[in-house]
This record gives sequence, structure tokens and C-alpha cells, in this order.
Amino acid sequence: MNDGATFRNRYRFTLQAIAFAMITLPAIGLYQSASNGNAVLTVILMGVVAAGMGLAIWVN
Amino acid sequence: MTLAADPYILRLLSISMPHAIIAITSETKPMLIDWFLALLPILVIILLMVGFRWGAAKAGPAGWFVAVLVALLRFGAGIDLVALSQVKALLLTSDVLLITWSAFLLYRVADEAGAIQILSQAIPGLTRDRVLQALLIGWAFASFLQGVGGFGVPTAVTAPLLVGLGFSPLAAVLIPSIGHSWSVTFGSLATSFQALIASTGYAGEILAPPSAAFLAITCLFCGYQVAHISGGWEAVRRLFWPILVLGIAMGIAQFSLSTNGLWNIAALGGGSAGLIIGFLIARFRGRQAAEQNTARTKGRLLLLALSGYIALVVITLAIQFIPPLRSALSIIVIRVPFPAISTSLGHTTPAGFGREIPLLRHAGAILAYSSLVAYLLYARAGLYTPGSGLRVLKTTIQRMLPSSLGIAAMVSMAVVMAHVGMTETLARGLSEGMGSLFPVISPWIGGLGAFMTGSNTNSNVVFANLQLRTAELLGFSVPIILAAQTAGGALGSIIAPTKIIVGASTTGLAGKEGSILRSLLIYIFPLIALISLLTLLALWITQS
Repeated sequence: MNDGATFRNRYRFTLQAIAFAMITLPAIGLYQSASNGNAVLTVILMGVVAAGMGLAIWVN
Repeated sequence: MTLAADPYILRLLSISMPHAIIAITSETKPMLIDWFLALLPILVIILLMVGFRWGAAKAGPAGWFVAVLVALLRFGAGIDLVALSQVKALLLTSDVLLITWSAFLLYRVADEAGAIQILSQAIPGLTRDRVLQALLIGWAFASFLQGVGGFGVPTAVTAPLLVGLGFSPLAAVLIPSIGHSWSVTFGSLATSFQALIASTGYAGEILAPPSAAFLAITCLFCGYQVAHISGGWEAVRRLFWPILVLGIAMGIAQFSLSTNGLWNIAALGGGSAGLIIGFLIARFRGRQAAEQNTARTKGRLLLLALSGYIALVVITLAIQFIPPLRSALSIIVIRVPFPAISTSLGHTTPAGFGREIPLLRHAGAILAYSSLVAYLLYARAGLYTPGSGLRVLKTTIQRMLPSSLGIAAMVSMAVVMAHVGMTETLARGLSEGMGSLFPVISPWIGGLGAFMTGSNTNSNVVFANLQLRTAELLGFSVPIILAAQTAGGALGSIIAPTKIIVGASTTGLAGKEGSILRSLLIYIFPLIALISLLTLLALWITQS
């Protein structure tokens, strides 16, 4: 088993929790940024959501 | 495939459906491309889950990526639209997760106290017939739970019970999933049916008869399918008459209540009738075995074991039927206003509130109250060991977190698709491409909506108006087409990944949702096909 898989298995629960937080928590900021037309912040926060989705694919 | 090219049709659709895509072209090729691109996220999910046996927590995010890319590159979505969709999705996700977490918490509270084991010993005492056990728990009791709770609660609560009785985890998920599907529309205190009324403007008294009739007939077939899952064709033949009696009792109870204006308790009544008749059948058929069972569980202990679920029923009914209590619990409502959002292609979602969450009287809150009451009762009876409370919380978090990831991703995908017009494109392509065969696919559209959104309610909100207008344009009876929509939605909600995740997570099958979906499709597709036939038959009867 390679290091990545070992790391993933050892910290699976923690990584899942981080992924879940990255997918859900930015919504609070997204509501403000998208409603106020703050494109830069919206892109950054959507990037966090996308990274969370990517992490979810990797960790599961 | 030809889509609404007629200006008159376009005008009618745009008047009736403010959510609809206005920028429909008369060219066939681009619409076909749009249709297939709109389908792509669903195809990806199905391919990954069914073909590659990925779990929902892995396939869901993949589907979300595809949906967002298609939305941005083809359907004219801007980053603000995707962002606001994500916020709306969070509200929907919270709505679902409140229930799934609380349902599992209630199960763990009962299980830690040994209540599941007590029930597992008690039901074989009532009947040793494993198929009858499956019918009692997975059909009647699950339908009853759908009446009072819904939102995945029936499977979440009864699947672990069935595992405790010795059923395989896969069968334990399939049995209650199929068993309660007929009661989804009028379940959850008729939330889905109310959504059908609200989104179409048709009176409940007009919509209830065909909807309840379709679902009553489906109920009977659900019973036979549960028997088949539990014991094969031999079980179906052996228990043909008891299932017929039980199915007719439940179907008639739901039909009678719903067609007399009591649709909010129609599924509850159907499930209750099933439990009473099922209990009598089990006692009658299993009398000899029951008398020989020397290890029969004491009544008081059984009542104690059931106290968590009795609390659930009592609290639900109290909140539903005691207006002052309902009002008092309605003081905290999470309600987020959203501005109107449009794609560059002209698909507009009007301004309005996202999913409202009445925090204190939410189905999840009711399950949490029930968990607390059950915990106190079990603790008072001395059924817990030191550290039980912490163990309950720890295992709940460990078990539900992966499921929550899958639900969050799937809901996000569905919301993005709805807001950029991908869902509308799919439905319109399906319905108008079929022309006079539209009634045949009408329930499949309802099923598709529920599959994508995880909810019969959402399917009705998204597709009911489209079905209504298409039925009017094609000259079909609207109530019958809407009955097909909601019945198909009820059945489709069972195969929704979000619900499959719930079942998988409570039976130790997390990560094997693809296998569950494959097995469920074998049983659900014939049921939706049955609704297609019933729709044709009903239209033929009304037109002749």
C-alpha cells in the first residue's frame, strides 16, 4: 500500500469531516458575495467547494 | 425528437411556467445536444454507481462536477448563479440531514439499550414465518413510519431491525424501501401531495382519487415484491391470500382517507390498518408456533423496547393535531430570501425563499425529541451501561458523516441542474418527444425527478406544472397525468441515491450503494411500468 492510501485510511474520518465542511460552510459567505456581486470572493469560495468535492472523491 | 417549436405552445409554456427555459429554438440538433448534456450528470452518476460500484459519497461529487461544467459551458450559467444554487442546496441538504442524523440517533439510542434485540426476539415470538416478519416490519410498519415521518425514516428505522432478525443487509434495505414506496405521496403527513396541489392549483379533492387509486394498486404489488425478496416465488405463492388481504386493507384505508379530505393522515391510516390486520394475520397463522415458543418476550419489556418509536408517533401526532403546540414550535423558522437569478440563455428562477426549515417542529427535531425521551426511559429502566451516551453519539457521527457527504453532493447537483434549466430540458425532451405516448412516460418523468432530487415533493414541485401543461396541450385528463407524476415520483424516490445512502448507512453497507441501486431497479422499474399501464387504462376509461 502506498503512502497516499495509508494516509487516507488512517485519517479517513478527519478527511471526510474536512471535505464536508469545505462543501457546506462556504455557503454562508457565498450568499453574501453572490448577492452583492463580489465576483472574486465568489470564485474563491466556489473553489473551496470544488476542492471539498474533489477531496470527497479522493477520500472515499 | 421535436421540441416545442410552435410559438403558441411556447407562449403557453412560458405563461404557465415562470421557471421554464424561454430561449427554446426550433432547431432540432442543438436541442438534442442540450438534452443529452442535461442528462450527462445523471448518466455519470448511474455509470459510476451501477457500472463501477462507486459509493454515493464518491459518485455524487463527480456528478456535481459534470453538472457545474455543463451549466457553465452550455446552459449559460454564471458563477453567481452556481453560487446561489449552492446556498439553496445547503438548505435542502440541512433539511435532509436533520432527519437522517436524528433517525439514526433514535436507532442507536434503542440499539444501545438492547431494544432492537428485544424486538428481534419478540417478532419471531409472534410469528416464526420469516416472510411474514418481513411483511409486518418492512411493509406495514415501514408504511406506518412513512405516514408519520418519511424522508428516509422507514428504511433507516426498519432496515437495522431486519438485519437483527437475520436478513442479509441487502435484503434488509430492499424490503422496507420497496415496502413503503406506495405510501410516499401521502406520507410525511402528505407533504408531497400538498406540493402537487400547491404547484398545480388543482384542488386536492380532484387529485386525490386517481393518485390514491394508483398507489393502492401499487401497494398490493409492493407486498408481493417484499415476499419475493424475503422468500422467492414460493413465498409469494404461499402467502398470496394474506398479502392480498393486507394490501387491500392498506390501500383502501389510504384511499378512503385521502378522498375524504384527510390526505394528511392517509398514509398513516394505511400503515395503521396494515399493522392491525398484519398482527391478526400473524397471530392466526403463527398461533401454534407462538404457543410453543417458551422464550416469549414479556409484554412490559416489549413495550419498553418500543417506547422510542411510540414516542415518535405520539410526538408527531401531538405536533400535527394540537394547534397551540404546533404554533409554539413554529417560532424558529430558518428562511433565506433569494434574488431572481437568470442564465444568459434566459432561464429565470424568480426571487423567493429557499427551503424553509421550521427548526423546532421539523421531522428531524421530532426524531431528536423521540431519541431524548427514549434515552431517558431506557436509562430509567437501567438498560444502559456507563459510557452508553457517548458511544451512541460517537457511532452516530462516524456512521452518518460519509452519508452526509453523498447527500450534500447529490442535492447540490440537482439544485444546479434545476436552476440552469437542465431539468426542464430533460423533462420537456422526454414528454414532447413522445407525443401521444406521453401518458406512458409521465410516471417515468416523476420518477426521474424524484431520483435526481431524492424527494417526491421536489419532483412534484419541479415537474407537476410541466406535466399539467403538456397534458392540456395533448388533450389528456390532467388529474390522471398528475396522479401518474406523483405515483412515479413516489416510486422514483426510493431509488434516489440520497435515500439509498440512508439505508446503506444503517445496515453497514456504506460504500456499496451501487449494488443496492442495481437490486432496487429490478423491483422498481416494473412498478413504474405498472403505473404507465394504469395511466393508459384510466385515460381510456375516462375518454370512453
